[in-house]
Amino acid sequence: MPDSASAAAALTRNNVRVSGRGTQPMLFAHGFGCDQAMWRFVAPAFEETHRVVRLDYIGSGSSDISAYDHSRYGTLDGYASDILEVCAALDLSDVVFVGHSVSAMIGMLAAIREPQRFARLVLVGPSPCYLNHPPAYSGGFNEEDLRGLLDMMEKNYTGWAGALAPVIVANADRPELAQELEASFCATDPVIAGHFARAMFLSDHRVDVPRVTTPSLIMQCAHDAIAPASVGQWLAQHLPNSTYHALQATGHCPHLTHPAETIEVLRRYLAAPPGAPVVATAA
Amino acid sequence: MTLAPYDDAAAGLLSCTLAGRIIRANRMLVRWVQHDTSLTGAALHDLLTPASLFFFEIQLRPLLALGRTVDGAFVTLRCRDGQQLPVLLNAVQPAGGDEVHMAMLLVREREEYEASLRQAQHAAEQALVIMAASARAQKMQAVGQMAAGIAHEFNNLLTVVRGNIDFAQQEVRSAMPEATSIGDDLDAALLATDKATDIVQHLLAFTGRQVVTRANVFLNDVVNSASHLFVHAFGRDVSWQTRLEPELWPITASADQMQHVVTNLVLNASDAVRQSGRAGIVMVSTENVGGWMMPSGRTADGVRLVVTDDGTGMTPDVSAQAIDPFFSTKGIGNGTGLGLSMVYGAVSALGGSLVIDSAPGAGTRVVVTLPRAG
Repeated sequence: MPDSASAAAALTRNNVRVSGRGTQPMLFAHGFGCDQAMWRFVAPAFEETHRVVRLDYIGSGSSDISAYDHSRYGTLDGYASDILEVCAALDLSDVVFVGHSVSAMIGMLAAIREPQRFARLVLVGPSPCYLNHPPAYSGGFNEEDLRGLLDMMEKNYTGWAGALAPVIVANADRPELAQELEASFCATDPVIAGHFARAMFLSDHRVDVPRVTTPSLIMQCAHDAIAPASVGQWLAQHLPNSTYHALQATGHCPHLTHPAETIEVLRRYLAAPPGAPVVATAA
Repeated sequence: MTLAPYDDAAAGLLSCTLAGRIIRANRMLVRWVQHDTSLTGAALHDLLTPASLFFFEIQLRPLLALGRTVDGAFVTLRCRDGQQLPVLLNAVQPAGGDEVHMAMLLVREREEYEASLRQAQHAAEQALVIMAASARAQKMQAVGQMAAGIAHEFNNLLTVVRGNIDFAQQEVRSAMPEATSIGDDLDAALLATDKATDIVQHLLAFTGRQVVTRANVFLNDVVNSASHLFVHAFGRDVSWQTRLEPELWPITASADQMQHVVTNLVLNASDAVRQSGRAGIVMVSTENVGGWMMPSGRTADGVRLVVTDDGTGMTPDVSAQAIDPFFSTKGIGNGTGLGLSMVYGAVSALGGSLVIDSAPGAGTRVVVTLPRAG
């Protein structure tokens, strides 16, 4: 058990919210460029059966950016440490980790380091490596695309476009949820986001994948431009105890665009023994 | 269906399914991305560069799915011929609907315009710096030529004057040993001639045309060997501090000349403190400077000597004339007005630079940078 001060620090740093009436913890971790609000259509469906934990990575949403450490968050391992510190702070075990996009890999890294904490990993649109490594592996992007993305982020967060500059909305009349959404959603700290994008793009965790022992579900979307089916299939071949499931949902954010199907697949996977295929899905 | 205001809108308009299948796009957008006829049925993904696609999926689509509009986001379209087209994107996904509507404005001109503005500003700033430096260099060259001419002529004349006084003295001593007052007069004339010769030598130093022997010199040694002098000259109200880089690089110079440089700068500084009527401090520091831009425009390693005082300081007018020969603020008879000129001449002759940073009441900082030996 960590001391109460460092536990409180981890919970504040990652703006950890706990809800639900169940006992088994279900930890929802958002992808790059978002925050915990992106789980709002899916997470509540598990509050009856689970203890639902949501968090914001540092630099996202309502995280405490004063705790930011440039070198710690230069690799995905720093973010995995945050996950483990939050688990320790809440004394979680038997955790169902649900990670979207880059969080899927962060969850795998955390599960390699402390396998005893995790019961299952649910990987939504995962990718162990976003860059192409021809001829054997095609992550979908090259380094020039990363430069283009960083330029685009710069223009949209702080540059003349400023389309995603943080908006502070202080309106006491609004429902708490809406206000939180308005104020924090996509309120990404531009410097941290740029660093996060580099950590995400330049990391190649393919060698770590076979070291994961926790049973996992690979949720693969159709026509996913960020994590294409070829990447999902690569993972299915190299990730021990994994179950591969192709969603009907298209895009990269099924939990936002197709929440019903996402919830259904999640439930079926959790109900089945580890490693068993997920049968039949709701359309 | 064709609808003129839609098709010919001065913006790219597009609607697609949540899966990114294009339902309709106006003619303007089709023209931008150089598709032949229509974009209907094509994938939105194919219209975006990989970076834009990533940004759209990761950052913009979640916003839309949560009911937020996207206002003026910057993304880049990919044309059929591979060219990139930067646009500002507005997008909305009506609640409960299964379509996303988008409007785009071309921003290529704006990008280029901003880049050209930045470039023009940079060029103008550079030009100003170069103009100021060149005006100063021209002035100093003109003054230098004049000074060299005067010094040369006077030097010749003074040699004749001195020689003749010498002869006269010897003749007077042998012919009229009792006429001591004539001898004294000639002594006085000789002293004055020597003073005039000194001034001419200083002028020559300013023009950088003095012949000196150069060797490796460590400025710290020069400062240290002169410091006992300063402590005596300063008096009670001026304190003295040094901050010397222990691993200072050597320079190639004349040790005597460098002693003149340091002495001149330090005595000027202590005068400025005394003139302020308050107790003050003179500080001398040295440091190594990598990647220093020499006055010639080349980049080299340099050695820097900085003399700082918290004395009266100078107005911009005074500081601009400070190195002109015979310019002095100390009143007739209290200085030749050649001190800083000599410093400037010696520093310039070595390829170095001298920068004066001063404001009335805020003290003065003189920064001398010289090329590292080697």
